[in-house]
Amino acid sequence: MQKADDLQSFKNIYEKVFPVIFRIAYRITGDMDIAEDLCQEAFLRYYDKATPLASIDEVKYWLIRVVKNLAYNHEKRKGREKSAYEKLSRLPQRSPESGENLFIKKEIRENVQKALNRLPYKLRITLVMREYGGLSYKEIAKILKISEGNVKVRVFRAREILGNIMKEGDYVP
Amino acid sequence: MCPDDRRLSAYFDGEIPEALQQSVVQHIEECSLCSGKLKHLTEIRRELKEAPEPNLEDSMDRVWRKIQSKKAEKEVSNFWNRKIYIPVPVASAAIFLFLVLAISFIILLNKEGENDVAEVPIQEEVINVNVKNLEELLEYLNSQDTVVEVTIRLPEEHIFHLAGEPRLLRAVDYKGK
Repeated sequence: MQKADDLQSFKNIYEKVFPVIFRIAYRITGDMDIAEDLCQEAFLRYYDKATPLASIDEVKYWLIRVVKNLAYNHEKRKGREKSAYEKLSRLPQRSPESGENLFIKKEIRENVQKALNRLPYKLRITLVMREYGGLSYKEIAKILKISEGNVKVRVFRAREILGNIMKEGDYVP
Repeated sequence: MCPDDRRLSAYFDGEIPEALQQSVVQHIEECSLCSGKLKHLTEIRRELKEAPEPNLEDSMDRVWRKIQSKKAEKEVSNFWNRKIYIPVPVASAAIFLFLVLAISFIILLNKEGENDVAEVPIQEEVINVNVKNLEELLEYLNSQDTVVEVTIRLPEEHIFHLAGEPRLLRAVDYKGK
């Protein structure tokens, strides 16, 4: 039984769960300072939580959910959410690989985070949980409170859009 | 027949039922289009994984320190904001006692205030000054760099002399003399 009010227990949880929470927070926001702030807030909320959670996995899901909500609020505040679908429809058709395209692809690789930031929030959070959190569709579904089928669709759509952004070199650093 | 892209993406994640897995694997081996799509998915994953990220250890330490600091702040804040339940009779008695003490203190202060003029012991000192007249005495006193209360004691065997003849003068004419 994990106790939120026990400092040692809290530290153990922190050390085990922080890497995945931080990685997810960082990939959702694309900003280290913001990711740290979100993690700090999430762990403090867990520490203040009256009812401790049954297992380390439950704690992890709970913290990811908090970080996800905090990140969403942050996203709304910044007004960064964009319609990637609309942007995608304006992209030019794929052209044969040229030297310029290869250069752009290299640049994109260095700026994958920025490309990731262009995904709609719902798709980004799902893909980030899958790719950086290493969570299964079932776990993602539990955290997001959606069906596994919905997770499958979101992951697919996220990859499709991201793949197109990367291929077309539409990304502007 | 090619599996749809969603199923291929799920297969890529190891998220399709075992019963279907073998047939998908077999199909991919035979279908260049699907193996190309799978390669594309692998490329996307590789690029995502290769994207640089901040030093995890540093962030972990920084956030832990911030959490500790915030926790300490909250604990102090909770101490001062905690609720204390006092029974009504005890609270009434405490207020009454406080008022009595406050009034007593004020009365005591007022009494002490009546005698608040400090008594300075008077030191008398007899100084003999050899002067001929009042002007010389005033000059002597002005030359002393101090403020003292001075009692001028005239000689016990004093003799007053008349100076000049008595005259009647108007107040206007006497002025200045």
